[in-house]
Amino acid sequence: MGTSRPYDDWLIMNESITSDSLSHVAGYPEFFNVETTLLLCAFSCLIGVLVGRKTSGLQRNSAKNLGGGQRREKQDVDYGNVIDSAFEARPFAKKLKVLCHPDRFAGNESKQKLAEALHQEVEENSHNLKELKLLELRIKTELTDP
Amino acid sequence: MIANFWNRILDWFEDRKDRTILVRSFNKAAKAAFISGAVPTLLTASVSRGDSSYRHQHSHWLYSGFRIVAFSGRQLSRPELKDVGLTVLQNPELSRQLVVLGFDTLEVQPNVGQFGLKWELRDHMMIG
Repeated sequence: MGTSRPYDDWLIMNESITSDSLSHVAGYPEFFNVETTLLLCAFSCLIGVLVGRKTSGLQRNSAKNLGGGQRREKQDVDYGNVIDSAFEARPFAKKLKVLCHPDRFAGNESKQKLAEALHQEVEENSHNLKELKLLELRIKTELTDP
Repeated sequence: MIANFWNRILDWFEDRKDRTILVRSFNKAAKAAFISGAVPTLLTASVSRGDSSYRHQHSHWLYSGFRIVAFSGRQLSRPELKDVGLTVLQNPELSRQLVVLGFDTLEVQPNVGQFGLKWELRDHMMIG
């Protein structure tokens, strides 16, 4: 004994509407069919691969041309120093300015000139902690030592 | 002509990558310094619209500002903000790299308050 599906009539009734709408959708945007979409995907993949190969090739060539000893990457900036300098450099520079102030060496002319030069350098690098640490070393060796 | 066009496409991709790397490297270093306790404030860099009056030959057409936001939880004073900005400007490698990558404005601002500072990067390139 066969069981009849409850919505058969309903499906049959709407069949024409469904087929009409399907045919409408199928014929509507002719540009976006499967072939065009696949072609677009393939084209964008090709562009991506070519760009990737070209850029990596350029980087390899530039690194090769620069040579071993002179090889300088683009990431040459010492970001750690930049961040540290933002908060520590000013008080450190202030301390160094006191240490190498020319008035401290009033009796010794050569040291006074050296102190002036170092004071100037500290002033110029007052926001670069790395340079200030090197200058501190110079101040200690050249000015304070006998 | 096709080669020229192709090179321009490549340059665009290369520049975009470099800009992203610069901002990410800065943020990474700032996070590491903050986590280790070396600095009291977390600095976060981002790309902003910039100031159109500071434009130069290499400026990016839309996003030409390099913004540093200091997450301190308080209104930073003018000398504190100035120190952060001058640290970037007195680093010749960083300031030149910023200009070459299409930035023309350096902005420093705290995460609270309305006060911020901005500099024209072209003036601090230390050329010659």
